[in-house]
Amino acid sequence: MNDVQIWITILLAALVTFLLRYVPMKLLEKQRLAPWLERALRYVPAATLSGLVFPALLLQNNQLALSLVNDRLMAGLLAIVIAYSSRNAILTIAGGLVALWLLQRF
Amino acid sequence: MKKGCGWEAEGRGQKPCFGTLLLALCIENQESNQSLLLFSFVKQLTITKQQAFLQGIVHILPLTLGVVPFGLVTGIAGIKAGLSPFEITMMSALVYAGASQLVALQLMSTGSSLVFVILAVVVVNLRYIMYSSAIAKHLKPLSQPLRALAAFELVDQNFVLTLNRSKELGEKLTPWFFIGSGVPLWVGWSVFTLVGATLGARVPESWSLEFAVPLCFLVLLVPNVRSRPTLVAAIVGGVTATLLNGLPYRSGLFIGAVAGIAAGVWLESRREVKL
Repeated sequence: MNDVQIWITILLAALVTFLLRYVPMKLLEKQRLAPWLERALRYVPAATLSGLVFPALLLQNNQLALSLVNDRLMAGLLAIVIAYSSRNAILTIAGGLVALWLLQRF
Repeated sequence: MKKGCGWEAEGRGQKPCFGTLLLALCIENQESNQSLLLFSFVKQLTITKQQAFLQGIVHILPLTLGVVPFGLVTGIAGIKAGLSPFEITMMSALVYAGASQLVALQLMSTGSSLVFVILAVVVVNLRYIMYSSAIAKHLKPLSQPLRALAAFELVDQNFVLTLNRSKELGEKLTPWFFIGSGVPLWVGWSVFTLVGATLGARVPESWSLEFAVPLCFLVLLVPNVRSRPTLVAAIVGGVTATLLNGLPYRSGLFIGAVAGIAAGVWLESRREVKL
């Protein structure tokens, strides 16, 4: 990509992202969301965020790696436990990174 | 601790003052039951909009630390994708949505066309439709331009924090708390993208800093899983996205999200029928 293409991409990405954040609250000034849609939207964070987490833990070189020697999976599982019990962002991220670092060395 | 709590003298002031900041910091540092006690005091003092704004800033600080590695990684990814430090920093400041930026950068570096990059951004950011809908009623007291600003500030962290605090703040103060909480996040995100872009090359590969990115999402994901249907939505969405990882333009992420939502809704309605 050249600089012009990069800037067009940045500005378009900024625009669509802003619209996704602004249009729903603008539309809801006058009317309510359909109940079925409201129900479906409640599952969006869980379903989307896991799509960003799972592949990073379960894949090694684009191959499924469900094993104890998959360092990222082990470090990720530890991070899930830390996140669940502590609800602390810094502790979770630091714990996961340190665990991966140690696993990769020993 | 005690000497930091000069709120009796200054807490009643109409202007935001250092005392307010200290007060909020005190609350942050108290044990949970003590903090509840202090909060009831705050309610009696009927805090102002400015104080709610400052509280938002203070309460988001621990979560802002979480965007540090995320911003660094995004800065590094930007350089790898062929952007200049200025370009990637502006991308963070204007788009302000980390996950979608990383996906976009990945596609840009593999030479995808503009249409697919933007499509991927839309898919990864679809959850903002839900956040925006859910926070809409809390932002109603704001003027039109301020509401647009609040929409721009909307990310996972301040969305969750504000919804959790909205009851104790009340409808007049919640929007100001929200606007305040967005400030450190946006500043931190932009600054640490720049730091990552300029210094990132010096971080050794062996640190596996990029692993901080899924960990950031994990931090947000875990509190979202509150019921069996959300757990099933997360597992179905995650596994589907993993299995379809090879599909072009990261479309597996979108298909996974749809599958996860469908699974969650299906399980929820099935339970209702049973009851």
